[in-house]
Amino acid sequence: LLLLVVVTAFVLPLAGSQAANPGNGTVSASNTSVTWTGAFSIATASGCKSASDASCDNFKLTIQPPPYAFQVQITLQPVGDWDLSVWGPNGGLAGSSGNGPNQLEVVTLTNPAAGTYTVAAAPFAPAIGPDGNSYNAAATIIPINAGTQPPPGTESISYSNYAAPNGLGADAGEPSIGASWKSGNVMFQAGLQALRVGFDDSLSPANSTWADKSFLTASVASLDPIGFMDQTTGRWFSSQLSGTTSLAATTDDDGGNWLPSEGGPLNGGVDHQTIGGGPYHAPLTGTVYPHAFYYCSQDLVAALCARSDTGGTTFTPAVPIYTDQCGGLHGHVKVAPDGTVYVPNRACGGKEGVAVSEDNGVTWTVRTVPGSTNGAWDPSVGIASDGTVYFGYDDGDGHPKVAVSHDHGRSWTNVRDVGVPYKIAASAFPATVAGDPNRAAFAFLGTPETSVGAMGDDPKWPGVWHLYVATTYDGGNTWTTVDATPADAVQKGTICGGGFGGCNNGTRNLLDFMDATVDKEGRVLVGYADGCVDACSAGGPNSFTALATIARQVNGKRLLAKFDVTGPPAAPNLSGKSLVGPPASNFLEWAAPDDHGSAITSYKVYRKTASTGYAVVATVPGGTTNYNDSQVAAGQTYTYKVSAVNGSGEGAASNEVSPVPPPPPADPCQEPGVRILSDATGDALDNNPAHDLQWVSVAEPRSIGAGKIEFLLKMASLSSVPADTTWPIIFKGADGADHFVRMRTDVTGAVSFGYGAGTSVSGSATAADPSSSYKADGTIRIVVARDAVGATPGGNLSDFLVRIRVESGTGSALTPDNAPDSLARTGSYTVKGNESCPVPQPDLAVTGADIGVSGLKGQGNDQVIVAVVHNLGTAAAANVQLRITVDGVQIGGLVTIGSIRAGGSGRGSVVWDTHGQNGSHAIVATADPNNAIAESNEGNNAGTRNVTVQGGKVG
Amino acid sequence: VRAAPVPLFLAVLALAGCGGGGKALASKGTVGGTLPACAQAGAPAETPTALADLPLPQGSVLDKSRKDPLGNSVVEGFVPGDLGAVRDYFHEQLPVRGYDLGEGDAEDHEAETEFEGKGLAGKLKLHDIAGCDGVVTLAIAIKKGNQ
Repeated sequence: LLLLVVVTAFVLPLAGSQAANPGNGTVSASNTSVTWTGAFSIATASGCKSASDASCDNFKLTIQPPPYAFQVQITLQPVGDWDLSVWGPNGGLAGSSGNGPNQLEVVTLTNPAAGTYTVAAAPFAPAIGPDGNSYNAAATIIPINAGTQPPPGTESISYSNYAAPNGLGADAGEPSIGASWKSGNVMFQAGLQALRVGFDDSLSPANSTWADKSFLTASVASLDPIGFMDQTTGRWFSSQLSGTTSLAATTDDDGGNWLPSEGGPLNGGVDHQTIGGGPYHAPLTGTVYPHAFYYCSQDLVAALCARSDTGGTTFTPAVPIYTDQCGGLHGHVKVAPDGTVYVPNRACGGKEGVAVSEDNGVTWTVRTVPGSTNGAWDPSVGIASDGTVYFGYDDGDGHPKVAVSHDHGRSWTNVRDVGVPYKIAASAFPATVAGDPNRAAFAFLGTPETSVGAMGDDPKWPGVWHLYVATTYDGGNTWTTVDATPADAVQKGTICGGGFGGCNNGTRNLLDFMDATVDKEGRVLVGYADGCVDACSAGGPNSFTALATIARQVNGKRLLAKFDVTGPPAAPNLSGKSLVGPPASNFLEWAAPDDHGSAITSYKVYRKTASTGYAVVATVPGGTTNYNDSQVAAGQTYTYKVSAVNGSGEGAASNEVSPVPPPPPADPCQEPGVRILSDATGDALDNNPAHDLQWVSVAEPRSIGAGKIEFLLKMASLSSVPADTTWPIIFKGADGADHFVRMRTDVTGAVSFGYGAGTSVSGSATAADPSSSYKADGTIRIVVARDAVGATPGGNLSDFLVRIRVESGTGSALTPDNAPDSLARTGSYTVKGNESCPVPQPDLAVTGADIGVSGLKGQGNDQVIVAVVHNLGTAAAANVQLRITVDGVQIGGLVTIGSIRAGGSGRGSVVWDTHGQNGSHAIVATADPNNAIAESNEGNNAGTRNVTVQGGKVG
Repeated sequence: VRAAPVPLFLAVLALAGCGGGGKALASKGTVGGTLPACAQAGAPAETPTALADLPLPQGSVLDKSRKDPLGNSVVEGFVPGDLGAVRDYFHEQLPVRGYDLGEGDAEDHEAETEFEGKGLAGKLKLHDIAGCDGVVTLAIAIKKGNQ
C-alpha cells in the first residue's frame, strides 16, 4: 500500500497545478490561433466552479479583437473525460461544454470583448493519450461572413397568419404541419388534436376554415405528438408517443376516415419520435403502398429508425442510425425523391450533422456540416425535387444558417447566415422545406437580442421573438429573409431549452420544434405555436400560450415555379366597420394581396348605395391598406369593394362589405349593459345554435333591485334548450377570487340558474335570483347579489371566460364553443353599483316636425292639428298633458295622453277653426305644460311649426 | 460531463428533450411508498450490478431488463410517487451519490436526464401513467462498456 501511494504521488501531478502547456497565449488579427496541451490529472468527477477552481487546469487566453466581426472557437479534445468552462475577463462564466468521454468539447464566443479569459479544463475522468498528454486544446479566431456571403435577396415575399379559432389548437407546442397535394387541405397536429385547415383563395390573403378531425385512439394521451403528410398520396399520419410505441392512425381523406396503425416498431424507442416518408430507394419499389414510411425514435441512448412498407400501418424492426457519433436528440426524418433518407442531428462530434441511409433504412452513415458547431435545437432538412439537400440549423453561435449539399451530405456548400438582414442573434426551431430545383425556404424563430439567456427560464429576458422565413431561388446562394409576423411577436422572454430541473417559470410553452410544408401550388406554410396572443399581441406581457397558428405565403415566387404568377394583383380581402365619430365614417381595411410579381401601385375604393351603382370614391397609394370614408350621410347604408392595381393593370375586386352602424355606447345601467366578450356566430363545433355563443355582458339596471348585478349571455338561439348543458361565465371578482354564474339544464332538461366560487362550473351552485331568465332569442340573464360574487362597487371583475359545457355522462364534457377562443381569460368590468344609476325618468320631447295640420273633411274651415310627443327617457310617463297654441292662443282644451312608455310616443289633436285666419301663423305644441311630470330633460318639451293659411286651408 | 447545465447562449447548451404537454413540471407530491395496483408491476428482474449504487426511492420495483439494439443495458420499472416529486428526488440524490447530471428535460408528463459517475454513464427517464396516479415509470439505460 505504501508503495502504491508513493508511485501515485510521483506519476500524477497534483490536482490544481497549472499543467496547461503553455499556460497562456494570445489570439489576434495577426495570430489567429493558439494551441496547448494538458497533462493527466486526478479525476474529480465534477466541473469547474470558478475561474480559480484549484481542481481545474487553467489556460489564460488573451483575446485582441480583430477589426471585423469574429468568433473565437475554443476546442478541447480529451483523452478520457475532460469538461470545458470559459470565464470572462470580469470573472463571469462565458460558456461551457460537458460531453461524454473522448468527445470534443467546444465553446464558441461571438465578438468577445478584449481581455484575458480563463479556459478551465475539468478532469472529470481523464486518461493518458499516446503522446503522453491527456488533452489537446486550441483557440481560433474565425471571421463571421468575412466577404463570403453575398447580399440578401430582394424578392417581395409576405405571409398571412391564421390562428386556430374557437378554442381549437390551444395546446399546440411542437406542432406538425402537412399540405396534401391531392385535396389541397392542410393538416395540423396540435398536441392531441389533428386539425384540418382549408383555405379559400378567391380572396387574398385567403380565408381559412378549421375543424378538429382527431381520431379517437390517436388523441387520448401523449408523450410526443407528431404528424406527417405524404403529400403526393395525401396520406396523413397522426401519432402520440406512448411508451415504446405510439397511438397512431392514418387517414387518406384529411381526417374523414382513419385506419389504426400499430404505431411503430416493437423495438422502437421511448422518446422523440418522428415520422417521414417518400419514394423507395432503388432497387426497391412499393407493393402494398407506393412509398416507404420511416418511424424514428430514441431508446434512451440509442437512436433507431424502422421502415413501414404498408403506408404506416405496420413497421419492420428498428435499427440503430448511429452509435456514439451523435448526441441524444435528433430532428425530423425526411425522404428525398431518390429514396435517400435523412435524420438531422444538432450534435455530431461537435458539429451539426445528418444520419443518411441510401439503402431504404438498412444502414446509416453520419455526415456533418464543416464549420458548424453544436446548436441548441434540432436542425431540419428540406429536399428539392432534384435531390438537393437544404440543411437549416441553429448554429452554435445562435445564428440561423443554411448549408446546401448536392451529394447526399458528403459535402456542403453555400453556408449562409440568413439572419443577417434582421441582426438575428438567437434562433430556435429550424424548419426547412424545398420544392423545385434551386428553390427552398427556411423558417425559424429569431430575436436580435444579444444578452445572455435566450434559452433560459427568465420570462423577463428582454428578447422578442418573431417568425422569420428565408427563401432562395438560386440554390442557396442568396436568401430573402422576411419577418412573417411583423406586427405580432411569437414569444416575449425566453424560449426555455429545458433541463432536468424543468422550466418552472413556464417559459417552455413552445416545447421543441415547429414545422413547415409546401402546398400543391408551391406556397410555403409554417405551422407554429404562438406564445403571445390577445393582450400580448396588443403590447402586453407574454401570454405563454401555445396556440396553433399557420403562417401562409401570400406574396412572392413560389417553391414550385409553374405557379409563379405575373399579372394584375389578386382580389383583396376586405373588411369594414362604421365609426361613430364625429364625424361618422366607414372605415375599410384590407391586407396587401398577392401582387402577382409586380408591386402594387394603388388601390381603387368603390362605393355604391341601394339606389346608385358602383363608383370610385377614392384611390389610395399602394403602401396604404385602409381608407376612412367620412363622406357619409346619417342612416345611409353604403357598400364597398376594393381592387389593387399594379404594372399589369387592375386586379379583381374584393368581396363587398356594408358596414353597419355600431351600437350606442354601453351603459351599465341599462340592459344589455357593458359587453365583455364577443364571439363569432356559427362557430359552435356541433352547429347547435343553443351552444353558439355570441356575446357576454354585465349590467346593473335599477330594475333588478338594489345590490344586485346581472350577467347576460347571448346565444344564437334558445328556441330549443338542450338538456345536461351548462352555460357558465367564469370571472375573477374584485376580491381576487374566481367566481362563476351559470344557467344549467339537468338530464331532464329542467333549467336552473346559480352561482358559486371557483371555476368548477359543473358542480354544486347556489340558486341565483329568481328573476334570472332566458328567452328563445338566445338571451340568458343571470341575476345575483353583488356580494355573492365579489362585485364590490368601484372594484373590477376581470379575467372572463365562457366555455359552453355539454356533459357526456361519464365525467368528461364537450365544450362546443368558447370565448375567448384562445381560452386566455380576458376582459374587465368596473362595478358601478346600481344605487348609483340614475333614477329612471321620462323625457317628453316635441319638435316642429312632430306637428302636423290637415283639413277635416266636411267641416268647412276646420283644420286638425296633431302633435306627436316622444318619450326619450328611461321610464314611462302617465297622464301626459298636451297644449297646442296658435300665435300664443291655446286651441281647445288640454289634451291628455294616457301613457307613453320609455322609448315610445303618443299623440294628441285639436281642431283649429281657420275661418278668417289667412296669413302666417306659429303653431306650438307643448308637452306637460304645467310641469307636472319630473323629467330627465325639461328643456325639449315644446316644438314650433310655422304655417300659412289660405282660403281656410293650411298650405 | 458537466453538472447541472447552465443556460448560456454562448455555451454549448443543454437541450430539451421533446415531449407533449410542455410547460413547467410542478414539484409537489410524494415519493416512495407502495406501488398502486394499477401499475401492474411484475416480479423484480435481475439488474446489472453497476446499478446497485444508484439511488432508488423506497418501494420502487425494476421488473424488466433488456439490451437495446446497440447493446446498451436498459432496466425498466416503477417508482411510487408523483412525477414532480420523483424528478426532484433523482435531481437531488444522483449528485449526492456521486453521479453528475448531464443534459435533461422536464415536462408535464415526463422527465429525463443523462448521468455519469463511478465509472457509469447512462440516461434515466421518468413518465407518468395515464389513468394510474401515484406511480411513475422509470427507465434507466447504461451505456455499453459501463455495465
